[in-house]
Amino acid sequence: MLNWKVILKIISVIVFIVGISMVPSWLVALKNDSFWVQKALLQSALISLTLGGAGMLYFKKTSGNLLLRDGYFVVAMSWIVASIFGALPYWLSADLAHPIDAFFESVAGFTTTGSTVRNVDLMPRGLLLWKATSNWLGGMGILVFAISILPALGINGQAIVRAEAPGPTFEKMTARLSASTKILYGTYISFTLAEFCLLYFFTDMGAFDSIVNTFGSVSTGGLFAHRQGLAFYDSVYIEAVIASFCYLSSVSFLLYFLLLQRKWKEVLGNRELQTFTGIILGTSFLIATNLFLTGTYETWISAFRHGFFQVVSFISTSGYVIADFTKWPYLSQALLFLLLFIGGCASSTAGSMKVIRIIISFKIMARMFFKRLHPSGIIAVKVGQKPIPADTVSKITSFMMLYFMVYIVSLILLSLQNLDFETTMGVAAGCLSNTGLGFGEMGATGNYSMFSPGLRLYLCAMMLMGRLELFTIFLLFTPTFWRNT
Amino acid sequence: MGFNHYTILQMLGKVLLITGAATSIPILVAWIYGEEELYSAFYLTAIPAVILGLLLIIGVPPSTKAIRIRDGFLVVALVWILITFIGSIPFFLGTHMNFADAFFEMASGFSTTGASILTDIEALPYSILFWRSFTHWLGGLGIVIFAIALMPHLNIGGYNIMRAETPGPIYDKINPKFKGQSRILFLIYMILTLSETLLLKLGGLSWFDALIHTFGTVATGGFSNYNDSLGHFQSTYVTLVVTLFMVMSALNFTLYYASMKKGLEGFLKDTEFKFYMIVIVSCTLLIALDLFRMGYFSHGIALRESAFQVASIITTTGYATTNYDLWPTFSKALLFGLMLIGGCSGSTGGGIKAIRALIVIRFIRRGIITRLHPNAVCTVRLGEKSISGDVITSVASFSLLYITTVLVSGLIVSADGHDLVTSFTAALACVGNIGPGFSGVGPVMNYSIFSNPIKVFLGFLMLAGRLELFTLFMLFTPRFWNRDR
Repeated sequence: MLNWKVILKIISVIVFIVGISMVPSWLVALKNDSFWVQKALLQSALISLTLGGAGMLYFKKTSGNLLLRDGYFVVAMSWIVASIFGALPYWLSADLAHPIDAFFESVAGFTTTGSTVRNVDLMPRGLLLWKATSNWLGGMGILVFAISILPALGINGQAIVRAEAPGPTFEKMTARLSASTKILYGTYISFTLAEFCLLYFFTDMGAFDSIVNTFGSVSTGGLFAHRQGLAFYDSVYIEAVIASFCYLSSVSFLLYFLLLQRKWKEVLGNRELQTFTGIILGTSFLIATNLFLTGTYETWISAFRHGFFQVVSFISTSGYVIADFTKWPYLSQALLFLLLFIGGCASSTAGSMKVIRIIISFKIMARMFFKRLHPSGIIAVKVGQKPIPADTVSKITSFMMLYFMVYIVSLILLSLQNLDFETTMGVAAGCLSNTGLGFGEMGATGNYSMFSPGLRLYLCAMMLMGRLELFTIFLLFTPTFWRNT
Repeated sequence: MGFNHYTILQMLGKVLLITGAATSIPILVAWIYGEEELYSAFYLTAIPAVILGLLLIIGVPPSTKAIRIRDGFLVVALVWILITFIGSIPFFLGTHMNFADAFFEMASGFSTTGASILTDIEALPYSILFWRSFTHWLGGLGIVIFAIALMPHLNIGGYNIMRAETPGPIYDKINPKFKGQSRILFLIYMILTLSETLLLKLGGLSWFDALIHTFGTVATGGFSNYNDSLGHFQSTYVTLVVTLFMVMSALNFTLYYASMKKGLEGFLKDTEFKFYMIVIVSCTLLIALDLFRMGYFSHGIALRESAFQVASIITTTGYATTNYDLWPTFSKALLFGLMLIGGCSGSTGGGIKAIRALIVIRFIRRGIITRLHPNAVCTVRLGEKSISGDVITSVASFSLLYITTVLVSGLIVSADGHDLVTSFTAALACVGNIGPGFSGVGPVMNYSIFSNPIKVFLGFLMLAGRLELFTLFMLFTPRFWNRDR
């Protein structure tokens, strides 16, 4: 049996947090937006605060342990419930009349995808800030999920986190969980502040744009403050700042902890970090050369500027746009397409498969070459000097397989919209990886309004699946999960 | 641990002899159709090949040393490369093809892919057309004999997956089972060939057309002697016969043997067969429904076209009766999914193979369950058999390598500047030995759009796909050539 009381308590807290977070957006709306938007944000905040608060009071005395099953359930439900409450402002303000659209917008926020189904030009400011806030909360949530909650789960939580994200785990570094969580929040919040200052004080984009862009990049959500994306500002400085923070947020947050302990060697020697950085530099170089040689940009520097930014935007799964890459030569597009399947490092706010899993997959393949030659030979999969336990290897392999399978099945389902094949291929990859961009028709706009309501709902499911590492959602659909044992 | 040079040379000698002898058969066709000018193209290939083959067989002393796995990989890879080169000689001499084109066409022939760089197939002389399709038949035979009977330990064609035996590092030079088993497999192959030829002849085709399309079908190749492939005949009967034989050729050949003893039960008890049939039937129905819904065909024709195309793609044959690239995206996406699956183990079909796809699905399911019960011991089952961990690792590594190969090759192909769908489906269609893909390499298009280096690369991919990747890629690992490891 699931431990309903504790689960409801946690969810009440989350609803309450969602409610509080709406207040700043309401204040912004008071100054900028129509009465309807103000009213909607206030109503939503009040509803969330009341329900969340009531739940918290009712279950105040409840305590107890969460088992693994409860943990998975809580995580999945947190995102779903947060998205439902987060959808209220869009829906109540009639900015998005259809409830599914409002839900889509909210899911795109909390999963740090940053895509939209709105056709009209710009969202009212209050709602835009709310979406950016949900990006930020989603990014924070995923860090907590990956680093704090999973290990804290019941009996063997530690094993899961090791399976999902091989590498250093937090428990080993701090004696108490709360200490590590604090450091985590600290890092995330300092990044946010640092980026805000860099954008607000050194450019003329203003406080509002600075906040939206900051929230969008540290959460790797990639929300557009303007329809043209970042091309609106056309400033190398802004691009550099945003790209840097997208990069920093896609690096494992555990490494920052090591940095605080001044373990430079361990940080620099981290295989995942090295590979991640190597991929970024390698692909940027290739794309820049390709763009330059094909004459897409006149100078190599300009080609590199665009190539590098778009590479960081794709691999960090934020999905910012500074140029219409669908007009780029296909080699560059193919490279960007592959980046959608890689994503950032484990234990970061980035989505998709994660670099460490890619590294281990390559090791698994290399091992098979050995095994084919020496069928009875035994060899472990190693990352750096560290052998990865067979159990973990198996879990990573099944994750990769599931990811590809979900991709193919989603491709087939999304094709019901009868868009061209390239668009469908891109949308499926972009949505599952929480990047929100695609190729072909949808391309650089991140606008999903071409899909029917039913498929929009499926796209929401895809974003949630991708964000919660697939298994969290899939577990809920297995009979074993609901069996009473 | 050096190579067993003598035996390798002996085997290559035999293959040279057989291929040389096979090259003389088109002379007969040339004689029938009065193409005297082409005699030389074939005998200039046949005579040196036969002489060289005989020299190797006679000149190289027979070795008593056992063949090791390493020798096996080398022999199989060399054989396919060698026959591809020999097969291209008549194209050089008889037509005005350059090296890249001839290599591509012959790699496509021997690997039973069916992709072509020819823009006007009908312009070619009969004897050349015959040779082109005959290489399919030889390639299919090669897979059946080499991979299934002679060297089961290389695990080409996934034949070994369901065998419980653990392959030892060394096996006998002449597998005692080889003679009996290969004779039966050869017999099945012959029966399929003869019966289809007869059935097609009864359908009103000339002997020549019947033979060409039989070669293309039983080897799951897909070469036709008409520009519009099977669409040329506009005959429901022909379509049905070819559909049936495509499916029959992509079934595990040993099932026919089993059914000789057990009757139909031999088929129905086989998990892979059941899975294969379920996939074919459900995809046929879905696509037929989609075609009918979108107003492409009336329901009878929709069903016929859909069944034919589903069979053609999943068996990796690649024939077309209509331009499926114009079909609704949902139908195309389903076909795309089928391209990944491919034929059954132990057949002439390519792709990942149905049994591997099935094991991957079961493996993912286990992955989900073990996340909930980390300590549970849970085996992957197929029918009544449980699959050993070694086999799962092998299947998973293969699938990973397969997907990686397709993605990386798609990237390389995109350097030619064709759109993403063309680039990636061209790579998939070549690695999977299918032939046509979508968009620029769709069923009415051909591979002449690519540059010479990419053609050679794709030709290589076809051979790699035919030999199940590891066999050919192995030759590029340093470990393979290091005699101490």
